[in-house]
Amino acid sequence: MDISFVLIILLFGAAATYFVGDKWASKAALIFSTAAFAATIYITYLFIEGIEPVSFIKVWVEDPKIMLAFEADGLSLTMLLLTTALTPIIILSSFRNTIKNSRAFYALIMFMAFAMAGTFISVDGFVYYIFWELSLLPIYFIALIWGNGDYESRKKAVIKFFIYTFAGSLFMLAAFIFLYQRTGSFLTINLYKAFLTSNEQFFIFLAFFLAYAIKIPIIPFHTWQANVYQKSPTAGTMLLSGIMLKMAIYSIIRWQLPIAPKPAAELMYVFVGLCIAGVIYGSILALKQTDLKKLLAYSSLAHVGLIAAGAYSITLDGLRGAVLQMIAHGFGVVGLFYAAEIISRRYNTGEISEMGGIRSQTPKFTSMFLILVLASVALPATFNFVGEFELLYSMAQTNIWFAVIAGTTIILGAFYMLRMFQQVMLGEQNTKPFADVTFGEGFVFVTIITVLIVFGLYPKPIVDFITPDLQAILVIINRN
Amino acid sequence: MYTLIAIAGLGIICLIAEIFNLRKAIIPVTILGLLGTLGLTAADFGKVNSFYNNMIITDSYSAAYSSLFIILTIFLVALSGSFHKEHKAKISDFIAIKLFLLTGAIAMVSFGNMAMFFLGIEILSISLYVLAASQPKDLKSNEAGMKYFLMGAFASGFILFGIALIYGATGSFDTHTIYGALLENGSNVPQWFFIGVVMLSVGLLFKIAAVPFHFWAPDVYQGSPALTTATMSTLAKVAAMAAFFKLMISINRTVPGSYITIISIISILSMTVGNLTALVQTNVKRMLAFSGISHAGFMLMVFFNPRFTAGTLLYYTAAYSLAGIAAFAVLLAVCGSKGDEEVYRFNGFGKRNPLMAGILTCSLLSMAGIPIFAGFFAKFFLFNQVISSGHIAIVIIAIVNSIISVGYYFKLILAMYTKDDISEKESIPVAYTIVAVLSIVLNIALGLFPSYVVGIL
Amino acid sequence: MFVTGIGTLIHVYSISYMHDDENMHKFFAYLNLFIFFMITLVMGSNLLIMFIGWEGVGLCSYLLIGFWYKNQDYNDAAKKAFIMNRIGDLGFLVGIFIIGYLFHSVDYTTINAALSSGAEIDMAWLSVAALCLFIGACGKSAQIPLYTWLPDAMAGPTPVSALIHAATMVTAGIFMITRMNFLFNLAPDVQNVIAVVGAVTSLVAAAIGLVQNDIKKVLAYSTVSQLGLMFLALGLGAYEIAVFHVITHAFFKACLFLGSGSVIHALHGEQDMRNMGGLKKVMKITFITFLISTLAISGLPPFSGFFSKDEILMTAFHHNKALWVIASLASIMTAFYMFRLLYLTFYKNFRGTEEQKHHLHESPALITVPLVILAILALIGGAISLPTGSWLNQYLAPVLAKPAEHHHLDGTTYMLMGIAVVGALIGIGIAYSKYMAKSAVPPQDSEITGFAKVLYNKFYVDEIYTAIIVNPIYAIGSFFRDVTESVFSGFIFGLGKVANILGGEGRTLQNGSIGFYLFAFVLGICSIIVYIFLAK
Repeated sequence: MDISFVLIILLFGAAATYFVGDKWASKAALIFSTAAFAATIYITYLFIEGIEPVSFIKVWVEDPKIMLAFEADGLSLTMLLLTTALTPIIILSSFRNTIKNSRAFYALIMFMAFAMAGTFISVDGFVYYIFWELSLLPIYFIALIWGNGDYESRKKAVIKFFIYTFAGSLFMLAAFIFLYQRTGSFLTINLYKAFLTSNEQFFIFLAFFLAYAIKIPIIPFHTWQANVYQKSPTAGTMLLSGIMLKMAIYSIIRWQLPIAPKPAAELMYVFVGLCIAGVIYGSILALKQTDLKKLLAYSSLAHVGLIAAGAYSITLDGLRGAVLQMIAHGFGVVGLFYAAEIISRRYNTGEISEMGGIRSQTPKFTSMFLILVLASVALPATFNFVGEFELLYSMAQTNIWFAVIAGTTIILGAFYMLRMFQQVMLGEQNTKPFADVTFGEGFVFVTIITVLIVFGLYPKPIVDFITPDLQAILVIINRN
Repeated sequence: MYTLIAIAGLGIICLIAEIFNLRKAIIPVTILGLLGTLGLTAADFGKVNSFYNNMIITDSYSAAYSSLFIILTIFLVALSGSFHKEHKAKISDFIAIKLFLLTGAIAMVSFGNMAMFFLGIEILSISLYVLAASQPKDLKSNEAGMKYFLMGAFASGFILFGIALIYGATGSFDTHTIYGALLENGSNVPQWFFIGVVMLSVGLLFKIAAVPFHFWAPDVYQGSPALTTATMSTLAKVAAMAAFFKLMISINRTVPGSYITIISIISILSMTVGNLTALVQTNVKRMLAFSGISHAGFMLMVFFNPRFTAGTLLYYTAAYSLAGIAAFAVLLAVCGSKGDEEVYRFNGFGKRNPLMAGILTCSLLSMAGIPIFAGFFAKFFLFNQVISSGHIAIVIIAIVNSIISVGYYFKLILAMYTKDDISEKESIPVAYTIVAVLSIVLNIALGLFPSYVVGIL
Repeated sequence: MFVTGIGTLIHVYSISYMHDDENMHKFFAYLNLFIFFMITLVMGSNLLIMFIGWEGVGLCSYLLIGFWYKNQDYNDAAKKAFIMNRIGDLGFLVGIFIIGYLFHSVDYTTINAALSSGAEIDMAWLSVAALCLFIGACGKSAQIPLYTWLPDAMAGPTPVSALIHAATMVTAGIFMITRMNFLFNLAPDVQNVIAVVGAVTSLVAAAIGLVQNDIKKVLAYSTVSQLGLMFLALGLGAYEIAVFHVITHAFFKACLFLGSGSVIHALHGEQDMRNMGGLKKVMKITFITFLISTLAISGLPPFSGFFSKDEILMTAFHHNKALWVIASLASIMTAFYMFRLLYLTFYKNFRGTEEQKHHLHESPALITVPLVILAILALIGGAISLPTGSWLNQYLAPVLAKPAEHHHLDGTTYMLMGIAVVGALIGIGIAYSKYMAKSAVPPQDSEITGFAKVLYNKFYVDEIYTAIIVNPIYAIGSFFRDVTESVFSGFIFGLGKVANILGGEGRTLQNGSIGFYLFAFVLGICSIIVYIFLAK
């Protein structure tokens, strides 16, 4: 069994989900995504034990030379694990919703998981690009058709998102074509060895940067985010914030930095500064939000700004912190959006001012929501703290003031998250009834919380798993 | 050669069948005949044959394109059955004209002599003029035919004049001779040779509807009956492009710098004008016309590196035309043969008929250049070639245009899936569905296995 | 040790105090969680583990202050505590980063070894690190400027105030600095800062406490003030003395808080001293334990407070007379307001409602027993570190880089002791004259004027913070939301609009006139030919 098997399961699962019809679609999706997760775990096991080669490589097109190449290493397997672990959780979180045409909905989710998984494990630039673009289609439809809110504004938001992201990616394609002209191949091993002048590196870096800056997002390319997150159905938002933006950050580490390291090093202050500006910008905007999902969206903007800053700092702590925080943030944000979804479902509103006083009726939900809130502000003993600590440490290595400024996110984050929690959950008991979480809902939360706390207390296995690959990449980045 | 004869023969059989009252058999027989011819054509691969004193030269290039044309015609003929069900009496005419059109197209790609080339163009064009005006009761159809004829004649005049100048400069109509003359004389070739080439190009640019010679296209596309529009936007455009390319590599050893500049400008203008104007269209046929103009702009980019781009052009034209056929098949399904192909007709189509809606989506995505459809690879191969010849700026412009094109393609997709249903479920003739499915399957297959096609040339 | 010891006493106390609260089980869960984190904090062997405990106790503090979550004011107080702590935590983190960078480790022993072995360490950065760590301590231990959360934290149940905000969590800052004493010893500038901040805090807090009317708020400001004295000691390098005062303060402050809790419980939630009075007749045990602790905090011998506070004053005198004056002033004020509290609460006649008077009773044993134990400790606790022979100093010696300064029992010492006692007596005297002899009762809120009003409103520090920090941030947020967001998205949408406009132009061009088309055709071909000729 090799790594392409996971992709096959996901793709087949997407088709199967569509064809079993509306009634069984959600369950089929759940089964296949869990199977993909199990397969990934098995492959990780094979990889760790070094039992058999798990990578997959085959020629697809002769001229120009494009290989179907999927590689398993610590970094890509970690991201694959994240994707396949979150997909069943995301599917599970939609169960209680009544969804029209659910077979299309779940099939699209599965297909998106397929595309995203593909980007993480491809080491041929062209195939990687195809998967990158493919992942855009399902979310476009998911947000458009099953989203909430007024149709016209939703349509505008989603189209803007699609064209914006598509535009960025096309520049990345141009960069890949250029690289192919230079090296005759799309494979990472060959691209890393390409000899590019400073000028060429700069433009290639910029082309990649546009694609990633829009997707993560990094200010000022972020304006699509808050609207799309809010108007998407929650599963869509979870896919976007939990997995899709990680594609971009992963790509910085895997593609952008090793291929064009010079501009990153020379202009480090610019890029890191831009990311950190995003951290502050997102935090301050979050303070002023009255819609719960938008608040979470801006909070996400702040968090990923720090992750991107860590990646661009080109230090081991930065890269490692970025990967760790990707996992922590992925789980955490899925949990938070799920909580937001539950509240808005029960109370039929997304405005914070219409919530409040929920705690008295729902002890279980309160505790779980609180733990997720605390994780998001990086309380020690949560996985998010591990990542945040590493990232801030890498900032300190770059410039102590970066660490101080970026560090204010722990203050601002505490401010708006706790304020949100207070306004939503605490206070006089709300007159509207609020049923406590069901078993299914609770299961999602418990899974996420377990991951965050277990790895928060004992992050060693993951750290050891990813460090060798990150060190290798760092060597490549610093090769000049 | 035999291909040509076979098809012409098939056309005549068609007309005769009408006389003998075998109307029902026309379409099946035609399709079978075309399939047979396809087999014949396939035999031409890899060999170079010349007939009638170099009038017709068949080689891999002509075989490949001929096959493509035949496949397209098969689809078009299959669609005709239901499209013309109100004019059952005239079905033989329509089919016969289409077959003759095909012969013209094949002649355009297998010529060895300028006269043959001109003959092919005229046969193609005249057939199209007739088809455009084939709904005499519809004012728009008349207008379309009229406009096409007038402007087409004008363009043909230019082509003829260009050929005359070339003859004057080199002394022969035969392409090999012309080429030889160039080789010998090098830069001593008389001025008017080059002017002749330019006039020839202009005429052909008219046929493929490149800016600024494109003005006829939107009006003609919109006015003609939908099936004719399908023919024009797929078969005719592809044939013209293939002929243009063949012409350039046959009689022009290297393309001089100024010529390249002109092509660049025309290409950029076509892409941009086509895309921008398509954004504001509400009539689907007109929108597809402008989209075709922009695709013509893309296709023109093959001239930057003509020695290596034959395969790329084949792939691009195949991807584009297959997507076009699929799109038109669905268009016919939604709008019938009555005209009025506005976007609002597509509202809620996604619910009414998910299969056809899905096919239309796939075809639009292919035209927009989204993986995994063939259109994406087509653009990719194209960009690859252009970058390797050094014209990076044009690629950037092409990329920006691709982004813009998403806007109007998605308008249609949006309408299908999100707007509410306004009409009841139509009954869609089986033929439409089969054609749509087959063509999109071919398109996707092209997308998954690009090497097979690109490697042919 | 004393974390768990006092923790146990408070647990016992809480059983009775919280027994009719609906969320009692949650209360104990949080309390135990707190103990867990506090132990983590003190027992960790490196800065990172300490930080985990540090944030953990902050979390529990948040949960416990906002325990009665139905009241949004309480929730606000909890949030404020957490956020202010976080500001300090940022300083702590940056300090950890710098230290980690300098020493490639955050382990105490490693750092200590590196420093004492004389390795090449950048002294400037070391001072910065020390300062950052101190900022962290300010947040946790409520020193200027991060102290305003502590008085608000009184919103939590009284056992919480006793445990967390008197005895344990707030002392975490002192603990941390003591732990890292080898570091601070090498940054004398920072030490000066610590001493000054401590002294000033102690004075300011005492001043505010002079006119407060809520029994718990008085105790809160008193805690801030006493913490200031501890920081003063730390800043002067007298770590053992600081720890000594931590311990004695824990005894008497916990007793005072629990005592006030007993009073509040008896009065069914009344906390305003103006509505109390004459309770010594009804609540004898509470009164006596309260009296003992008040004497201890005022620094009268032979209570424990005398010994620890006196050592601080003596050290200050020997190092910096100005600081000694400030600290002494603060101590005098302490004596004053503590006895003011005592007189107003327990003496004279009851000023509350008839309803409350009926229900007045001494608290059950579960409450009074811990009171007694603590009072006894407040009484005799000074013995662990007498001027003659300090057991505490010996106990702490292995941890501290420099040995304790030894104060000789000479003339200066006795004189200073005398001055301190006299000062305390003066404070008590003033209080007595005002509240006992003249039977004065503090005025209602609306009647407070002049400087007293400034003091009553805590020097308006909270308002200043809101104006300087909170409101500007909100304003920036609004600006971002309304202006910059629109600009950014407008730019992108603008591109789309441009495309549409251009398309419209293109559409008008396509006007259907065949004459125009042909004209364009000819125009095109002419331009091409002209161009070709020009190019040649």
